[in-house]
Amino acid sequence: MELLAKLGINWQLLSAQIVNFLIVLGVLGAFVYKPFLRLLDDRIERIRKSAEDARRIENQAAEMDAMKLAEMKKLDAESGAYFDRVRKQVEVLQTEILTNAKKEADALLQGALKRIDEERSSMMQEVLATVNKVVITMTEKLIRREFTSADQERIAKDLVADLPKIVR
Amino acid sequence: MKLTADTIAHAFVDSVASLSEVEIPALVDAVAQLLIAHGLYKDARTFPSLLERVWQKKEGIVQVRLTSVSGDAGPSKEQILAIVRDTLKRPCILEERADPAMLGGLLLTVGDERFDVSLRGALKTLSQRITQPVTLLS
Repeated sequence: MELLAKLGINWQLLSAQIVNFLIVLGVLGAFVYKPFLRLLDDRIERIRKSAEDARRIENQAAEMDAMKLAEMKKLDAESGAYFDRVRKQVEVLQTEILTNAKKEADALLQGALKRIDEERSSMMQEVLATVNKVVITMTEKLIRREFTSADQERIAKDLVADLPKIVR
Repeated sequence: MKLTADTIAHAFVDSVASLSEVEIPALVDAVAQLLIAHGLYKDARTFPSLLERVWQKKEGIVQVRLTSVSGDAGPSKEQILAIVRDTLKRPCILEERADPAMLGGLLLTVGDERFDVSLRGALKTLSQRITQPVTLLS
């Protein structure tokens, strides 16, 4: 005590201040520090949850992106196969149409050629018939004018000469 | 068996050889009635010529028909008849016909064979040659 007195410290005052300090510490500990810590913990927990939610949402978004990409790839593949199939069908159809068209064109061409041949042949026959008629008519007129009894006798003689060879 | 003009003609020719001349008219009447009875009216007109053919066939006579424009082949007809008779060594009967459409020449028929040296025949051959189908090179 004496030492404290020599140092100029009033132990009573010091004790009172210590008691005051302890009281203030108790009060602050009970009414301020603990709620504050709890508030801090709550906030930290909320932030952690928010971070977790954000991470989960981010993961979900990434999963969704991956799924979307997979779906897109699948759709792309399916549509590719579909378009391939459609293209092949179109090619087959195109070939069939071309073949049929060629066949029809060939048939038309053959028909036309046949008709042309028939018409040409018919025309030729008509020309020949006309030529024949003219030639025969003219020859007949010529014969009527030029044929004499001497010619008739010559024919008869030739027949007599040839008859033994032809009669059996 | 259906009775035809041909069978009646054969029967007539077979029967007539054994009949006397006075019986022939009765046979002709009987044949005419037979033709009518069997509805052979159309054959009645050609029956005489059918009889002639059947008779000639039975006797082995060859009919030589000579067709010319005038119906008279002149001195050559006797030569023709003689050649045919000598060649075939069978009796022959010459029948002459006129066909002005022949223009000239002769058409000789010996039995079923025809020897056409007529101008009409030559013109027909010429006409057939002219109108023969022609192959055109395309």
